[in-house]
Amino acid sequence: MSLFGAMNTAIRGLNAQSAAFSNIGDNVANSQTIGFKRVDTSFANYLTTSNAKMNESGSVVARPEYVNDVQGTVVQTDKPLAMAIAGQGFFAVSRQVGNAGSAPVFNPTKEYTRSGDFALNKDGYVVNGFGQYLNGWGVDSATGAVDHSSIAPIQVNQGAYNPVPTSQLTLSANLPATPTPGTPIVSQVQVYDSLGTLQTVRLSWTPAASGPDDWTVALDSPGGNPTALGSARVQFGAASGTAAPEGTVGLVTGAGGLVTGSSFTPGQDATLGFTADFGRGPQTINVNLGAFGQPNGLTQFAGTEFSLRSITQNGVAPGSFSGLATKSNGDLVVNYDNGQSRTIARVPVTTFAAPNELQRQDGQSFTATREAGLPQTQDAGGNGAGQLVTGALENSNVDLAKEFTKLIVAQRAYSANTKMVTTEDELLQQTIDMKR
Amino acid sequence: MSLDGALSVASSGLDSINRRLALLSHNVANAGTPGYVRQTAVTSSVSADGQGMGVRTGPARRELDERLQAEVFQAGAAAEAQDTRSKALSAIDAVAGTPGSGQSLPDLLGELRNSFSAPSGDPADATQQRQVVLQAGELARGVRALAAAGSAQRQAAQDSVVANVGELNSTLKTLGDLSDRIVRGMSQGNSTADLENTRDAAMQRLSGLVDARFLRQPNGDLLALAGGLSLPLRADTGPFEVANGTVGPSTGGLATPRVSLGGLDVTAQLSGGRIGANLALRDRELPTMQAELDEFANTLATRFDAQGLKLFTGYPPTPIGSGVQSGYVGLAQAFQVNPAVLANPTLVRDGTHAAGSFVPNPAGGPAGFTGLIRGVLDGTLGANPPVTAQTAGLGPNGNLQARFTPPSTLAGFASSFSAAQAQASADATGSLDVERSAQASLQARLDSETGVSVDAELTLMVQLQGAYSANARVMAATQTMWSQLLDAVR
Repeated sequence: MSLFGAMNTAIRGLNAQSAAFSNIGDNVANSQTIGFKRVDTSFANYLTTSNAKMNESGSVVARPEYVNDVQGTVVQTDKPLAMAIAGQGFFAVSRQVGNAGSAPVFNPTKEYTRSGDFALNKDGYVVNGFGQYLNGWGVDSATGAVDHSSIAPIQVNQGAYNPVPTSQLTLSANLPATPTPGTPIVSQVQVYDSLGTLQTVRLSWTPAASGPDDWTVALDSPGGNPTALGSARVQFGAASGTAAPEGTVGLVTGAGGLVTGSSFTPGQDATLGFTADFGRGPQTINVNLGAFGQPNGLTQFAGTEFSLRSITQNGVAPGSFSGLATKSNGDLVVNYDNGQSRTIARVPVTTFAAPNELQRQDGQSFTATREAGLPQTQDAGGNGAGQLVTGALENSNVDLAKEFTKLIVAQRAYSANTKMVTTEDELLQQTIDMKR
Repeated sequence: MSLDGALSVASSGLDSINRRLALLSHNVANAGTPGYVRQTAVTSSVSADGQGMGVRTGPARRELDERLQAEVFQAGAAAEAQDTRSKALSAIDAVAGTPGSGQSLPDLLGELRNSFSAPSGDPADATQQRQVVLQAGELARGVRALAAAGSAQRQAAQDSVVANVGELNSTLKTLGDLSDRIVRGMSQGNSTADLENTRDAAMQRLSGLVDARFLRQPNGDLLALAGGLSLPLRADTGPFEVANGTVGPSTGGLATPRVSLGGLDVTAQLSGGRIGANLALRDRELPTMQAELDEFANTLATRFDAQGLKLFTGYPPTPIGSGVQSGYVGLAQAFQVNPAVLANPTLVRDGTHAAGSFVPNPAGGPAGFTGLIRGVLDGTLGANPPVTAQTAGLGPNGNLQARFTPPSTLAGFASSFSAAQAQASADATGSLDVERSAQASLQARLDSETGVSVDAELTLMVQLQGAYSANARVMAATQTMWSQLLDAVR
C-alpha cells in the first residue's frame, strides 16, 4: 500500500462527491420544472487488491440513479387543458423536426413526458410548454368508437358543428275530453332541417264527429314541399279496441299521406312517422306520443282546452367551436356554442416495465430504450397506468429538504476527502524529510 | 410530498376563499336587486393518487325553487290580467255613473218617464212637451256615451294588443338570445348564474303578457309554453303578428285583427296576462256590453214605435252581421232623438204614425189628446206588453250571450244592465286585490327562499375570514420552515 495509492483514492472520492454535487445542483435548479424527474447519486467502490492478507485502497465512482417512477406533487392550475398523471406512465409526445408546406413534420421517434402543461397552438395541435405535440388515439366522430390501433399528434379541428336534422319529436299534451266541436286544435313545433334551418311543423287535431276518443291529426309545414304532410288517426282508451286504459293512447293509424302509425303494445312508445321535404330531400321524423296505455305522453282527460306539457325535438342547430375540455378518462372534448360537444381524441398513458431505464432527453422527456422495455399504450387508470388529473400539473419530484440533506452529506464527505489529501501530503512531507 | 405540496394546497384554499368572497360580495351588493337569486359555489376536495391536492371551487350556482318561481309567474299573469280588465271596466264605470246620481241609465229613463207623466195632466203645455224631448235627448246621450266609452275601451284594448304583441316578440327574442348565451356558457363550463337571473327577469316580463310556463332544458336552453302553444324563441321575424285596426260596432268577434303565429290564428290560445285580458275585453266582454246596450236601445225605440211615436232613431242603413241583432248592431252608438220630434215637440202628444189601435191626433185635433201619452206610460214604460229582449246570439257574429235576462219592464232592463256592468267592474277590482295579494305573498316567499339573506352572508364572511387566516398561517409556517432549511446549509 502506497501513500500515493491512498491519495488517488481520496481524489477519486472528491470526484465522486462532485458528481453528486452536480446531480444535486441539477435537481435544485429544476425543482420548479413541470414534470421533471430527479437524479439521485449512488456510489460504487472499485478494488485493487483485496484478500486475506492484504487490502489496498481502491477507488469510488459516482453513478447517476434515475428516479422516473416517483410521483411529483400534483398541483391545481386554471389552465383548461393541463393534465397530470397520478401514478405510473407518461404522455406520448412528438417532436417537430421541420415543416412540409404548412404542416409540421414530426420525428418518428416518440418521446415520453410527464410535463402536462398543454395548450392549443395556432395550427390546432395540443402542445406542452416545451413545444412537444401530444399524441392520442383518434375517435370516430359518428360512432364515438376509439381507434386503439395507432397514436398520432392530436389536431383539433376548430370548424363548425354540422346541424343535425330532427328525426324525433316528443309530444306530451292533454287533448280535451270535451272539445269545442268543429274547431281544430293546433300545436306548432319547430324542427331543424338538414341545413339547420328552423322549420315549423303544425299538428292540427280534429275530434271525430262520432264522439270523443277519436282524433285525426293533420300535419303540415309551411316550409315543406308539399306543405301538407298527411294525417293520422289517434284513438284513445276502449274506443280504440285495445286494452288501453281510458284517456291514454290505444291506436295510431296512418290515415293519409306518408304517415305511418303504430299498433298497441303495452309499454311500447306510440309513434307516428311522417316524411317532409324541406327542399333538401325527404326527412323522416318520428313523433313520440308517449307509451301506449301510460299517461306520460299524449292523453285525453277532462277539459275543454288543449294543454301542452312539453314538446321537444332532437335536432341541433349548427354551432361553432367554443372550447376544448379534457375528461379524466383522457377524452378530449370539443364544445360548441350550440350546447353540443364532440369527443375528438383520447389521450392514452404509456407505461414501461422499467421506467427508470429510459433515456433522458431535453425538455424533461424520455425516449424508449431496450432496457426500459416496450412502450405499453393504454387507457388512463387501467392496467397499471396512472389516472389522469385534469386541471392540474405535476411538479418535479424534487424535495428541496432531501436535496439539502444530501448536499450537507456530500459537503462533509468532500471535506473528509480533502482532509485525507492534506494528511497524506503531510505524511509524504515527513517521508521526504527523512533524507537530509 | 415536499413543502411545495403544503404550499400549493394552502394556495388552492386561498383561491377558493377569494372566489367565494367575491361571490358573497356580489350577493350582498345585489341584496336589493329585484328577482336576484342568491349564488353559491360548491367546493370539493381534490386528490391525485390518494394524495390531497387541495380544494376545487365549482362555478357559481343559483339556489332557486323553480316550482315556486313558476307559481309567482302565474300569479303575476293573473294579476296583470285583472289589472288590465279592472282599468278598462272602471273607465266605463265612470261614464255609466252610479244609480241615483242622475247620470245612470235607470235614472235617465226615470226622468223620461217623469217628463211624460207631467203632460198627462195638461197635454197641450208646450214647455212640458219640450221637456219630454229634452229628457229623451238626455237618455239618448247617456246611451251614446256608454256605447262610446265601450267602443273607446275596445279600441284601447286593440291598441294594447298590438303594443303587447310587439313586447311579446321582443321578450321572446331576448329569451332566445339569453338562452343561446347560457347554452354557450354552460358548454364552456362557465358560471351562467347572472345570465339566468337576467333571463328570469325576462321570463317574468313574458308571463305578465301571457300566461306562460317554462321548462328548463339540461343544456341550459329554455322551452316556453303558453296554453297549447310552444313559443318560438329563435324566430327571425315576429313570431307573433297582429295588425293595427279600428274596432267599431260593426267589427265584433272574428272581424277584429287576429293574432297569428306563423300565419296561423292563435288568438283563442292566448290567455292570461295583459294580452289575454285585452283580447277577452276586445272580443267578448266589451262587445257583450255593447250588444246589451244595442238591445236596450232597440227595445226602447221599438216600444215607443209600437205605441205610435217614433221617438228614437239611429238604426244602421243596412243590416250588419248575421246575428239576431243584425238590424240594429251599433244602434247604441248612433242613438238619437227622431229629428222630426225635435223639430216639432207636439208630436210627443200627437204621435207620429198609426200603430195597432192607435191613430195619431190629426193636425187641428183636440189639444188635450192623451191617447199617446197613456199608451207610452202604460205600454212603452210599463209592463204591458212585457219586455222581450234577445239574450243569446247577440253581436254582429251572433256569438255573444247577455249577462242577464231583463225583467218585464224597460226600467228593469236598465237597472239589470247597470247592475251587471257595476258587478263586472266590482268583480274585476275585487279579483285584482286577491291576485295582487296572492302574488305579493308568493313573491315574498320566493324572495325569502332564494333572495340574499345579509345575515347569513355576513356569517359566512366571518367563516371565510377565519379560513383565510388559517390558510395564510399554513403558508407562513411553510415559509418559516423554508428559512430554517436554508439556514441548515452553511
